[in-house]
Amino acid sequence: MRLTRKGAWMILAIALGLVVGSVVGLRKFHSFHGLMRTMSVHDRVTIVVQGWAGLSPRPSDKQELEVIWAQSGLQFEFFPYAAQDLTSKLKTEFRDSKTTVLKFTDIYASTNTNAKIKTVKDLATAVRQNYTPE
Amino acid sequence: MNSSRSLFRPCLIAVAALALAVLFGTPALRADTPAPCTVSDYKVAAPTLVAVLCDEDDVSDLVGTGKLYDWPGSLNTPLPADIRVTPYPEAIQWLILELKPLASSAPFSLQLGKKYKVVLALHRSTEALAPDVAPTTFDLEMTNTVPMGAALSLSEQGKWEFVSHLAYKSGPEGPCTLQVEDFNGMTESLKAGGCRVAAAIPDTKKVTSAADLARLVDTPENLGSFELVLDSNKATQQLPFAVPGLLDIFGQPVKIDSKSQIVPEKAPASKDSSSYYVNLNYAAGKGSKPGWVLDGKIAPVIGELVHGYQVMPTATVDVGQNQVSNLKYADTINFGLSFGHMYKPNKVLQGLLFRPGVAYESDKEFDRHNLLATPGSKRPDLRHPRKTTNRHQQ
Repeated sequence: MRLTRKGAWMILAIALGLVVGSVVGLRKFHSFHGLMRTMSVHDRVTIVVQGWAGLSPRPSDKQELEVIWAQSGLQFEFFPYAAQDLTSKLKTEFRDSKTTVLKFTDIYASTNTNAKIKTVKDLATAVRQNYTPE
Repeated sequence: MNSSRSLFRPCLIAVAALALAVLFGTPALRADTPAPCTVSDYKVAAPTLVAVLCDEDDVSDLVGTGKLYDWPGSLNTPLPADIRVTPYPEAIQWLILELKPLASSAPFSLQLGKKYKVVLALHRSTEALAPDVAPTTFDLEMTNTVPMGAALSLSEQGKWEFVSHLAYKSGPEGPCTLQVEDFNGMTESLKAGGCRVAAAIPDTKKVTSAADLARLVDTPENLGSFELVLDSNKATQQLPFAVPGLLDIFGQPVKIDSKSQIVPEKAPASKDSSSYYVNLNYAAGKGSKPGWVLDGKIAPVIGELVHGYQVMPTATVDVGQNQVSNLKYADTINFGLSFGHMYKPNKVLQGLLFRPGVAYESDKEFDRHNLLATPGSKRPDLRHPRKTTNRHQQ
C-alpha cells in the first residue's frame, strides 16, 4: 500500500503535534509540580505578594506592604491602585473561598490610615481569618 | 594631651587582647553560626506534639533533635523526653517537634499550666550537625488563657478571634454566646454568630506525628484559632471572660485574658481617610447676619472588585453663606465617578494604569455647570525600570 502525499503530510502533522504537545505538557507539569503540594495560607499569601511586587526573594513577615511596593519600581500610587491589584490577585488565589478574603480598603496606607493591614504578616492573618474554603 | 596619650595605650592593649581572644580564644568568644530557625510562634497540637513557626523563609529541609527543661530553672537537667524535629509537610515555615520519652522512663507529656524551655539542635537534612551552629531556643508556656483580638479586616465588623498557643479540642459552631462582665461585676451573655474553631483536635492520642497532624489540619497556623461575630457591637467597655463550650486540648474551659476588652473602632482621623465626612459650622448672633459653612464628602466603595476594577463614586460639597470666622469655602459642589485598574503587560512595558473618570462640578446655586472628564492613564518611568533581579532583604 503506497502512502499518498496527503497521508504523509497528515502523519507528519500528527507527529509534530505529539512532539509539541509532549514538550508543552512536560513543561506545564514541571512548572506545576511545585504547586501540587498543599501550602499554608501564609505561604500562599507570601507568594502572591512576591509576584505582585516582582520580588526575587520572598518578602519577610515584618515588611510593610507600602514599602515593598515602593521598592518594586512601579511608580503607581500604592493606594488604591496597587492595593486593588493585590486584592485582585489574592481573590484569584483564594477563589475557592465562600467569603471574600480581603477588601482593598482593609490595606493600610499613608492615605488610608484607618485600615489595620500593614505588614505581610497582617495580610496573611487577615486572609486566614476570612478564608473559608468550600 | 598627656591624658589622651595615657588613655591611648590601655585602649590599644584592650583592642589587641580582644582581637586575639576572638581569633584564638575560648569557644564562648567565637562567633557562632546563627540558629537556622528563629521561633516566632508555636502551637501545641497535642501533649507530645508541638508545631513551631520560624521567621526564616523556608525551613522545609531542617531536621534535628532537642531537649526540654522546666522553666524557670536550671539547664543542667533535661526532662526525661527526647525531641525529634521534622519539617511540616504542608507549610515551609513550620517545624514539628515530637516528644518521645527516654528509654526506660515513664511516658512523658506536656502539662497544662507549666512553662518549659526548649533547646533544639537543627541542621539541614543533607548535612551533618555543625558544632558551631547556635541552638534554637524558645520558651513554651502551657497556658489556656487567651487574648481576644478584633479581626484585621474593617469589613468584618464585630468579628473577634481568640488565638491560643494550645490547640482547641472543641468549640461551638454557628451561634454561640460570649460571657462578659462590666466594671460592677454584673455578668451578661452576648449573642454571637459565625462561631467556629478553625482546626480542632478532638482526640490528641491520634496525633503523635507530623503526618498525623497534616492529615487533620491544612496548616498549623489554624490551630488555636476560634472566631465569632458579635450580633451587636454596642457592648463597649465590657470585659469578656468566657465562651461556653470552648475547650482546650486537655478538655479544660478556655479562659479569656483579663486585659482583653471590647472597644469600638476609632473614627477616621481625617477627611481624606473618611468615606463619609460632614463638617458644618454655623455662627449667628444678635445684630449680625448668620453665616454657615458646609464641608462634606461622600465616597463609599461600592461593591467588590470586578475583574480588578473598582467603581468609586464621590460627592463633595464646600459651600457656605456669609462669613464665619477663620473659615473659607470654595463654593463648589462636585459629583464624580471613577474606576481604575492596573495592568502589568510584560517586562518592557511593566505597568499601565488605566483610571478614567467623569465629574460634574457646580456651585451652591447650580448656575455653573462644568463637566470634567479625566481620561487618566499612566505608565511607569522607563528610565527607572522595575528591578526583577535578586534583591537582598534588609
